[in-house]
Amino acid sequence: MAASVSIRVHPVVLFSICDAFTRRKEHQDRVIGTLLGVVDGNVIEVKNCYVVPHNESSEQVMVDVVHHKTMFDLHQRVAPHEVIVGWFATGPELYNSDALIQEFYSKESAHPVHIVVDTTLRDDKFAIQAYTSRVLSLGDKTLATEFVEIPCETIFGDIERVGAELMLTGFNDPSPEAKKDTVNKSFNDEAETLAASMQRLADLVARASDYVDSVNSGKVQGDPAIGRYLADTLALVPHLAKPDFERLFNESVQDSMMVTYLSDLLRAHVALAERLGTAALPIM
Amino acid sequence: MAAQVGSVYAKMTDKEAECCVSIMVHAVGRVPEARQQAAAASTLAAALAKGDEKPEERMSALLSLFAMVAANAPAQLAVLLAAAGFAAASTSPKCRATFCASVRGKAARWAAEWKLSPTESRRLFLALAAPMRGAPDRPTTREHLALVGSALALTGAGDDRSPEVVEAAAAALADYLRSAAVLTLDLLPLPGVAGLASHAKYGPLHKLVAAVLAGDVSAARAAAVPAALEACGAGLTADGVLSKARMTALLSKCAAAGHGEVALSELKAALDVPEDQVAPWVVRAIGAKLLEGRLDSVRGTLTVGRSTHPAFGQAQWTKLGSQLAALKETVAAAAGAMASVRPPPQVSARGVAQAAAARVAA
Repeated sequence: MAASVSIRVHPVVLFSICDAFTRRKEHQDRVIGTLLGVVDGNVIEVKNCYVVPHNESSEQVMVDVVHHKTMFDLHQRVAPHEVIVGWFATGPELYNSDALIQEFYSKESAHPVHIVVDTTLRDDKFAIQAYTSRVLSLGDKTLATEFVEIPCETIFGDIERVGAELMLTGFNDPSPEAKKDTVNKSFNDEAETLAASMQRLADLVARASDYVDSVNSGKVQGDPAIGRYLADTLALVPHLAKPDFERLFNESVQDSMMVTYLSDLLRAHVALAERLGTAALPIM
Repeated sequence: MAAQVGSVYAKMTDKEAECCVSIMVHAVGRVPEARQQAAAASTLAAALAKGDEKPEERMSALLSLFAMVAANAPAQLAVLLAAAGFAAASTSPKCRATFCASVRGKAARWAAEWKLSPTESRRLFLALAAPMRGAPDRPTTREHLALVGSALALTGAGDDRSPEVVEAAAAALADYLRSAAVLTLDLLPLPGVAGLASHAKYGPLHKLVAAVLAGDVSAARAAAVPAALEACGAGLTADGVLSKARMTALLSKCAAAGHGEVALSELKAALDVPEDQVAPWVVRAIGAKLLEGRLDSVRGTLTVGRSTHPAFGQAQWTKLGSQLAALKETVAAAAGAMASVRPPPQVSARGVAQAAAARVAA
């Protein structure tokens, strides 16, 4: 709660950090790397990151500065608006050497932030903590570097949310148990995806309706903030009479079915032609 | 050590004071036993909240102390209450703004995490709301109203006349009237606020807010008496109240119309303005994202897409219930239509292709 600076992290950054951690060398306890993003007032949005090879012992830390600079130059070619905003490290807590690394990144960024990603999954939680630093000095002597925790939240863009929700269904899970549930699923099966979406929408609308009915019947004290949110959401739904909606929906579905049928027919023709073309002809 | 906090801030430079106080904060964090740590945190927080000099630095130290005792709920509560009291009493706008930004949106979560009783929760909400009174920015004003609403919702029948509750309710109403950006208020039905109607000092203020919120411009004009404006504190004029009443009247009319049309002549009567002034009011509401709609000056109508509800009461809940019931039917009809139009596999093109390929292979 300390400072007014806050951090928003995109999920691709967290996935990259986890991927880097799983690919680390055998003797390495943790991985560190650079965070890239944009600064908008007091909010730092972290959009990308890359690993920086390093070696650390109890007494010293060595960071591959050449690799760091090369990677930054390459990223700048692709996204010149993203600047170095700090660095990340994996692990359950801060290390003593973090102060040295923070000092290095202080030369790269005016107020570098430090994100610690707990890959040990302690207490079954994937903890992410963000810090800024301040130097404690008495007179001319620097006593210590203090890391002050700052708010950190993960934000999803609309496109990222679709991918994240799909991953949460276990679609990408290579384990045998997940395979049984997802073996018949396909990205390309639009009809099933749409049906599943409709069912999900129906469930959500039913839940909202149950809540509002409870408020209207006096069983529950209504929260005006929730009521306003529902009213604003419903205002986005186009208001069509039931016969008009059914007509529009059926026409749209029939158009989609026709396109699907014609493309399947075309595929069948191509498959037949291939088989007939490559079948060995009998020698007369 | 805590007793020396005043001397530290009075006699040391900023950097040295920051260093010494940080060491004290870290020392509290290293107290091993939870009850002793809570006592140490309370003592240090009280010492930090005591002086007037360097308010921003003191607030920063209080917030650091709060973060330091994160695993100790009683210690956190004590530090938070001390910080809230310090921010409320402070004359430094930056100190208040730092505190308000740090606590915004977290009160309900803290009350749940620390398992506070209703009385303790109410005390926490009122303490956090106090520094937010008269804030110039919209997010803090909205948070103030939300905290007071949460506190008053926990107020029992016997407590709604206590001075603390009365002052908090009156401050919330005053903030609503003063803020040009906040046009929604859901506090009027709460017992602590409803009781203000018969209060000697705040009765006129309650009457004025009720008239504004109802979108009744003539009643608001009549209720904007000096006693009501005085109870609101500095910064509010009769013109400001009238402007707010007109905007609320516009939103009320549009919200009642839902997805329909509202005649501009009706809006003219509701806003009590000349005919040529109605469109600028509508444009202002659309620009402030309070309203979505289309003006048809030929037909003299406003087609409403979406409108902010000034108050969300029983009528709005009932309308929401019927809208959700209609949407449930529509979605069920769509899902049923989807299930009925899918062709069986044996007559789909894919089925034909698979059968043909199997015959050729055989």
